Amino acid sequence: MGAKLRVVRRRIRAVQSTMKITRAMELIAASRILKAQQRVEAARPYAIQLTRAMEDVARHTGSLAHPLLEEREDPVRVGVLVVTSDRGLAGSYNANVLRRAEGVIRGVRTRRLEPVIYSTGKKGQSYFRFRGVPLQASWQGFSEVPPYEMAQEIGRDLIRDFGDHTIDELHCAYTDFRSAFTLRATDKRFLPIAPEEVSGERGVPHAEYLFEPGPAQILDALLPQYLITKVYAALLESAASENAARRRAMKAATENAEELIKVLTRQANRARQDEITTEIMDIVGGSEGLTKVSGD
Amino acid sequence: MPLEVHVVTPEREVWSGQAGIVVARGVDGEVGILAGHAPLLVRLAIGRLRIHNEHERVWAVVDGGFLHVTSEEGTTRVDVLASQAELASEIDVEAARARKEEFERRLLQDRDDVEARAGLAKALARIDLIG
Repeated sequence: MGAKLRVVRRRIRAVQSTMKITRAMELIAASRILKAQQRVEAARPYAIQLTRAMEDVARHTGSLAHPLLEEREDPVRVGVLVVTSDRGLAGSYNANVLRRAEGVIRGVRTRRLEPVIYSTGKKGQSYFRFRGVPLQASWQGFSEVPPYEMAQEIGRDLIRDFGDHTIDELHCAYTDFRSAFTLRATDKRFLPIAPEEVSGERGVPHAEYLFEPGPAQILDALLPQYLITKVYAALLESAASENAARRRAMKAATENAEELIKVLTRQANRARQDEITTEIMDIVGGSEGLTKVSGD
Repeated sequence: MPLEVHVVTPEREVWSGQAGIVVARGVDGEVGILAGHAPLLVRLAIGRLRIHNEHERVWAVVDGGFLHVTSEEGTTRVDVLASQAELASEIDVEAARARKEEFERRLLQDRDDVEARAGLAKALARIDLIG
């Protein structure tokens, strides 16, 4: 076999094995989108009921008062929680959410405040580390299937930092999962919690409404839980988005590999034909030479 | 008239259905809810939750949270919002025993280990329920 043919065949094999990997990743991501979507759905009843409970407290105490609801008069530092993935190979997923985060950080700077960065996912961590941006805290190793315990841990750390004035506000940049085809990097303010978010419509307070312990203590437990639920929702939405982005990227990669294999196969065929032609020419030339010799 | 009961955690709906009575452990003591109960919001302690109806008795463990009673058009609805909850049938007693021992060891080393204290309470609640 000629050198050219050997080289092309080797490339075909290499592309084929890459294609097997990208196709497998595409299928895995597709099944994970579904699971992640189910988890987003499963988290909803709790969030709805928790909000209802807070609305009841608001209705019966007139107005809510709690440190987590208070706008600080002269904020100094603003926390930005950036939700990225642990692995790449997800197209522009991380680039989009990091661009969004940079927008939030720029916004903080134009208010002449100091941004404090929190990041989840290895990609966010290495992005900020590479640029020499210090991270207040970072968490990784769960971006595809975030467990609730992680949301709890992150939420508690954030509340602690808000409580001791390490940050005076908290924003979160994450990716909203609209559908498998519409992913949107977005940002929301998480702290302080806007009172209208948890007040609902003004109803008539029920005369015999009971709180055990008092409404203030209940609120004290409800609000941190509310923040944790929001962090959890952001992690889940991002996980679904990450898998959707990866599926799309891997699908494109598989299609490219198919295309490349077609082109390479054509090249291999041509090389093989060239080789055969040369061989025939050699044989014909040789036999003609022989005929000439024996004919004389 | 039965109660409409939903036991939910951030991760899933643990149980939902109709019941005659719900008994839970609040931070200030036990609370029992019957149909027609006044609206109520209780903070729950780590402990057992009991739901009775004519067909079955459901036992569960909740790791703190809230119990919320509301009434709408004559139906009384009870929502149990727990950060974690397990039905008796889902509890892995062996795992709970192992965790109990681990947290007890940690508490011996450091009596102020808050996490271990909470973990121990959760493990004990599970062992206690299964017996």
